[in-house]
Amino acid sequence: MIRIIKLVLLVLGSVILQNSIVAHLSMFGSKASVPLVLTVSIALLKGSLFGEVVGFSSGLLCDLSSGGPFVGIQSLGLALVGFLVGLMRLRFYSESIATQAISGFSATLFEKLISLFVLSILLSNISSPRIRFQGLLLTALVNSILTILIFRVLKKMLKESD
Amino acid sequence: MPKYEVGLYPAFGMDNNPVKSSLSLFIVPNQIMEHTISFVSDKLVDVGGFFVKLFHKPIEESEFDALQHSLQSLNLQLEEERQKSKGLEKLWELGRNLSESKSAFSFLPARVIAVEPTDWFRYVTIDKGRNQGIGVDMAVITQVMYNHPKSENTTDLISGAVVGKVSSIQANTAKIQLITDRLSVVAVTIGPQRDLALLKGRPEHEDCTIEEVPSTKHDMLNLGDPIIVDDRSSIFPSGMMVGWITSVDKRLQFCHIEVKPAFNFSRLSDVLVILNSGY
Repeated sequence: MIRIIKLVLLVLGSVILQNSIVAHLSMFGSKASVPLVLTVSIALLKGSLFGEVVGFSSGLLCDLSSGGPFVGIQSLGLALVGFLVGLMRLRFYSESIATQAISGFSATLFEKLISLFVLSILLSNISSPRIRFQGLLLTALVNSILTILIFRVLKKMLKESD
Repeated sequence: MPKYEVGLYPAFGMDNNPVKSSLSLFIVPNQIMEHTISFVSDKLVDVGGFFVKLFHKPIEESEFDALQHSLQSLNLQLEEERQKSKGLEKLWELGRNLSESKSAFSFLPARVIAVEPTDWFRYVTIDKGRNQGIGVDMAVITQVMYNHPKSENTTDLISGAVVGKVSSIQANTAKIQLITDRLSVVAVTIGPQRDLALLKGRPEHEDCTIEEVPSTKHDMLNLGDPIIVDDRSSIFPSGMMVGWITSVDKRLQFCHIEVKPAFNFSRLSDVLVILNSGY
């Protein structure tokens, strides 16, 4: 029960942080993603199911707080990220810094590509969405560093409740 | 002559009363002693006070220091509030100027409380909503935040910058679609012949583009030319500043024009909502 409450608070906190502070820190049109980092860290710690649920819920909250006309793009992307990174946990040593960094980096690229693909279909007659390569790389780097830091914090937090 | 010698005169024959004389014999040494004691004690107090000051501040001085520190911090806070209110002052001045020049419009100031969390869209949330009279498709403006590259051309322009329009409202908040959003379209005037063009947002570059200007008009367009709202716009007041041309790329049939908005998204904090604009 305590673990669930902690996860709920973490999801809420990540969305609030994303909406308030991180949203102002734009790098070539892209922003770091605290919900994505949280999803990757939880997936590495707890597996696919937890990763999917955390990814879906934080993505949905981001979609609802966004002004865009579509709800579900972020939740789809983050749920897939949570699921796939959780599967990686079975094959790779999740405590390794390299695994965490690569997970954060590749999860960012994957989530952006998924969103780009879905938006291209939805906005095909109106405007083709684009993303700048420099922004994508920088965001992926920042997210990979954040994943390493947040993984350690979450590991201590969730270990205590276990 | 030392002070204590004044008291000695009555004792040496100045008064012939034997009682007084006998008393004075008793009193004078007493006076001498008193004066000596007071002299010595004064000196001791001075020395003691010197050591007290050396090792311990008097209460009055420490209180003075505390007051001085609090005054300094209050001054700093006051300076901070002055800087913040400068932005609000400009906004109020803009509202006043616009009320005079565009008396048909009424304005409501609002503060930006949240920005878009994703990369794909450009929206901000303000702290006014349905309860304060905000409606969908109302125009939102702010003061111009950049120096115009060609300042001589701005004399006939209203000193306000178009920010966007209200896209959705709740009870006490509203979402504003910025002109840099990919789904935003603004009818603008371009070139010396004041041709109509559609300005679209480009969020990945935090600017806007105009795509449908015929390439035959390429020579009439210069970098730094202002882009203003067209008379035919149904949402924004005509003549309001949108931005400046930063790039003109001549292509086969049309020109690709890049426009830098006249407001700075990262410094956007206070806006004016035009209440009787929109549909």
